Amino acid sequence: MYRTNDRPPAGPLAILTLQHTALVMVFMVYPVAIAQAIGLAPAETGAFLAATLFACAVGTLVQVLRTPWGSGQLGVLIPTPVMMPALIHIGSLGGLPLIAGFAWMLAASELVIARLLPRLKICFPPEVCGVVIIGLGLAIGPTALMQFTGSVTASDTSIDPLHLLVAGLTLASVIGATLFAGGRLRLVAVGIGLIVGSLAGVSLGLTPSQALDRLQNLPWFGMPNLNMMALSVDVSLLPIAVLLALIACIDNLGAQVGIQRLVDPRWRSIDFRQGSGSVQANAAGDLTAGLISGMPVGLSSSHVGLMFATNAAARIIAPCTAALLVIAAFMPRLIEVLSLIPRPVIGALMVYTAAYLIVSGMQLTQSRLLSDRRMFTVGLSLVVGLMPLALPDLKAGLPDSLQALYESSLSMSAITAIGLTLLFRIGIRNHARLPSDLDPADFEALSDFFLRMGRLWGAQRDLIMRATRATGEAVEAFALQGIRREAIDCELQFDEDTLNVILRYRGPVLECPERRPPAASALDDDHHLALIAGHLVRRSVDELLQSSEPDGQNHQLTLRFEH
Amino acid sequence: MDVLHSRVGSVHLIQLRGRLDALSVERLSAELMPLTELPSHRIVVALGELQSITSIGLRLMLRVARESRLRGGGFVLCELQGFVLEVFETSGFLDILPIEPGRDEAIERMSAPRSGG
Repeated sequence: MYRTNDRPPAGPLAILTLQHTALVMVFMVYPVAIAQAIGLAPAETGAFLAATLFACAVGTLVQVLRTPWGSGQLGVLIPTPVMMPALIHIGSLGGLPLIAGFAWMLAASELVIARLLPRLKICFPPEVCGVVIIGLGLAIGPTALMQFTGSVTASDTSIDPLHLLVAGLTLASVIGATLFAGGRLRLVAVGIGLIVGSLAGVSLGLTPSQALDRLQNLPWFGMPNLNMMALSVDVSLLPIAVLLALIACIDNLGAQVGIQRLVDPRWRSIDFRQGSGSVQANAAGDLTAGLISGMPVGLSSSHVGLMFATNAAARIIAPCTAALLVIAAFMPRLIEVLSLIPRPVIGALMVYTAAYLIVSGMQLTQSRLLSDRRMFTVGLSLVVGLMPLALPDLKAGLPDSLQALYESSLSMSAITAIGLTLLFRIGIRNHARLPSDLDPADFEALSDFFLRMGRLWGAQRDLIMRATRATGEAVEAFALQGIRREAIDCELQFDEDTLNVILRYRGPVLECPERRPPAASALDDDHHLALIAGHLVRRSVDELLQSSEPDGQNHQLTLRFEH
Repeated sequence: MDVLHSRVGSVHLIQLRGRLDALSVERLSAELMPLTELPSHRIVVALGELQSITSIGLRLMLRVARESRLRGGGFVLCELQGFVLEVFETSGFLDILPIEPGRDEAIERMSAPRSGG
């Protein structure tokens, strides 16, 4: 795997860069669709597409800058489908200038939200992040399947056998390369699928011959005619901008969670400094889009899927991809070539990506202990997320401001998950005392109590196991020092960052030496064994705090575990 | 904690399941200590299914190893993994107790002539 700071050799780097760039080109269908919907002239369309490529490049470059500017991670920005309905509406009202002004409002909203993100941490426990990632996979699903089967609309009843053949071949190539190829071939599995599928698609006539003729007539290089600072601002669009910025931030954080999990196998919770930087990078892309009249951009979950699929998260890929995007903006023929990738090939790659994301999200929802409340949060959020897919016509009956929200199953499931998380926090205390009728020396009883509280708080299973074992060891050490069970009081305190086990006891102070006592001294007497136990306790916690009352008899031992 | 006692040739194989702590140590001690009194005894304790062990459990292992050595027998631990291995490493018991990675190696070591622990 190529980690964040690794530098892949030139060959793999070139292939990875091409894959990321080609995937951006796939999403250029959205600005094309907007341009067609609002009736832009061919020259304006070219400028709009080139400006969007610049916005993607700038956002991708800022994304890879270290915090506090960007996230410091590879993350590619693309034209996001979630913006499309609103932008068509805005573009039909005031053309590209109003879209440009709207992009600036989006950027301003995102910059404000980026500042608030760390305070929003309680809204994003791992199960919410898991729901968001599953939502990302589900959101890609319908488009992916339409492309895969050759359906033109979601209600299409026919399946194009040629489409299905090419898509199946592409998917089989990717899966085959992933499962059976070793070394570098596995790294470029998606690229292999892309090439095999594209060759099959072109040879089977899936690319129209007039498109190939048009390609011949395009110049290799051409200066894009960008519309600099041609923007108009309509303040009445601000609420929509804020709502879409919030949705973009949730999307962004979902993709960030994916990236953070990929680069850190021991990932526990979202890094909000990186998250803030990531949203700022998104804002930088939108500022650029506003400046030169392109389409607003967002962090691409498909590229996160590509990073998972290729097992490559090297930062160096970002500037290379950005450079290629800028070059592409000056190369009409190249843009055309990449836009000619057959639909079923794109569909197969999207199905592959969706599958990755859904499984990754499922794993994440299971990474912490789930109480009944949290199970409802996950389950209900996913059901609500299916609404736009299962009942698309409901959108028409909603107010305009909610239509964009209903457009995205991801946003629906994410907002439901966040809402239920906040609602279900009501009435949960963040501390609990071991009931007096429970014997702390009875490990099973202790374990049941810790697990029950862990489920309620949504703690990580591993963390609860560590805390239970360390507490069990400490209680044994107390016993070795002659401290009676009745003289021990155990309290748990939990927040999103730490779990504290507070043991108050009466008797001689438990020594927890930093230095390991000789193992053979365990046979000497109970005091020596208690020292070994104390050392084990110290080594099993993230921080150990001890304090004593002035009477010298009452003490407090705090075992702190980082979440 | 479950204690499963079986024989592989002349070797006493003790498999532990669950948690070895102050509550279960007496039971295991009652199983193991009499074995150390048998002449030329050979004991393998497999910890593959042991979920956790505390300092009191470690002391029992050390005591059995010492008794076995003093009486000319053989004693070896095997299949240490996960949290149990971590406790042995952290406490330093990994360095002073006879340990084999797998059960087969442990039984082979105990079955070999003049083997000791």
